[in-house]
Amino acid sequence: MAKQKTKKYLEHLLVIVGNIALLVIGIVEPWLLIFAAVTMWPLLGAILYLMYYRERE
Amino acid sequence: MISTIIMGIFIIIILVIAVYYRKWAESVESYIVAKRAQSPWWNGLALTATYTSAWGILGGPAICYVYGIIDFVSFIAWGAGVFLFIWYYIPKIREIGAKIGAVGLASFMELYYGKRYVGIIIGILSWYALLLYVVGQTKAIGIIFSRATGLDYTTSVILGKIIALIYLILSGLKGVIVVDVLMGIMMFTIWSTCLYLLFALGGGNIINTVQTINSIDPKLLHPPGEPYAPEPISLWILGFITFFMWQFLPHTWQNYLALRSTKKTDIAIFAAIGPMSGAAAVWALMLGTAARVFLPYKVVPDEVIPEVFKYFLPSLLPLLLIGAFSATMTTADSSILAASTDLYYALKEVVRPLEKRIGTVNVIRLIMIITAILLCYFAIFYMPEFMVYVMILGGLGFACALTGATAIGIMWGKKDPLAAVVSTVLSLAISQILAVFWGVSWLVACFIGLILSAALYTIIASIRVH
Repeated sequence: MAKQKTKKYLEHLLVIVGNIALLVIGIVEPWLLIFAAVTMWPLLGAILYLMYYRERE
Repeated sequence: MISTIIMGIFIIIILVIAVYYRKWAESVESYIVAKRAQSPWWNGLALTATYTSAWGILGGPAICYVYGIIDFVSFIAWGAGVFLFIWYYIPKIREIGAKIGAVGLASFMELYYGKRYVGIIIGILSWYALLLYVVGQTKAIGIIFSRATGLDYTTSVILGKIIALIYLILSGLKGVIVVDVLMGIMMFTIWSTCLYLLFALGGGNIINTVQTINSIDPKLLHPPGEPYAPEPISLWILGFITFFMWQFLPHTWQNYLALRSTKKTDIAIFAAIGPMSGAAAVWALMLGTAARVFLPYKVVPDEVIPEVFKYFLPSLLPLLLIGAFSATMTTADSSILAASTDLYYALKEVVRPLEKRIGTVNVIRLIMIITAILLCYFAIFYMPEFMVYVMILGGLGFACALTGATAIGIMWGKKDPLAAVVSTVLSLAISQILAVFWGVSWLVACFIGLILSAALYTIIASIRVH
């Protein structure tokens, strides 16, 4: 149960903080974001996919 | 000549796909939401192509060519918005939609709020907003098609629409998804070529490109504010919030409702693919800005990317034309499908006698044809100068006006049909008046609409629902 809750917190942290972090990178250095964006979003998706991989059924 | 041949082959492939999937038109559920059984890979790629319109290849770079790199903010802010939206909203929309049997925005609203008038009003507004939105796309199809084939603009507009209508009419959403995936691949090829050009312009080093632009006018890269928002930082914040709402635009609801499941793994795949077009489109925007420095002559803003290709990579011009054609078609096809479905829902009682005679799917097809004719008329006789303005007024304006009815109504659980309708109609009207008559910049106007819609829904629903 506690493990489930931690996982849920981790999920929100990843989704919200991850996306806001991408925005902040964009404000500070737009050129960095051009390359980060196409790799970072799929990467974020891949991490979330692996997190729930075992529960997919 | 080469352009015409390649375009011809491309169109034949589209038509083969349309004929192959024609059996998907047998029932409304299969025709409009593709049996609610689409994999997140296909659906995600199709959605990515749908999200990015002519703006990603023509309109956005045009703004960058005239005003500097300002527009890229919207694409990055939008990417983050797409991810958050997919993660938190799509499972809800898909689940509720399947439970109540919704096939589009208007039917979702009607069945979710349980009142017929919600479906009528949202359906008509959705059709109106998408019409505004797609006029810009139709113009783009005309420009690109005429460049590729050498035909005049009017013929190109009509021919482009006929091609879209053929696969829409034959195979519905399933055809749209498959064609959109094919077109999405073409779009990514173009964006990658734009990135290559950015490197090439700096002699193999993108930093050189940036420095060259900076040495001429540093403001080109760092948004001075015009024409969207007074300050760069407000642009980032406004862009992020308003572009989060962009995903509620009716032409993408069919894709959400067509998803096969709401398992977290499926949603993760969907979310991983969703924002990629926004990120990749930034390369085209950067190239639009670079064109201001590197292109030796002035061009019509909306044609800046074709001109860059013509000047630096003439051999790849046919490829660009197909990529740009794809970008416009993918948005136009889903929009016509969504607009027609929503208008059908709004006018259900009126078209009932006809429906009994020819069937629901055929009524929707008929509305599609009428919508397409109207679009051609506006695109030929009222051609907007900057396609982006008309698109945004219709698209983002309506999406922001829906905030109360969708973002808050779905999340909050307090369902109030009156609040949904009042918040949408009033905020849409006010944001459009602000933008058209008072000259408020469109992003600010849309943001005001968004806040107003959220506030109105919350206040009215709090008073009426206990």
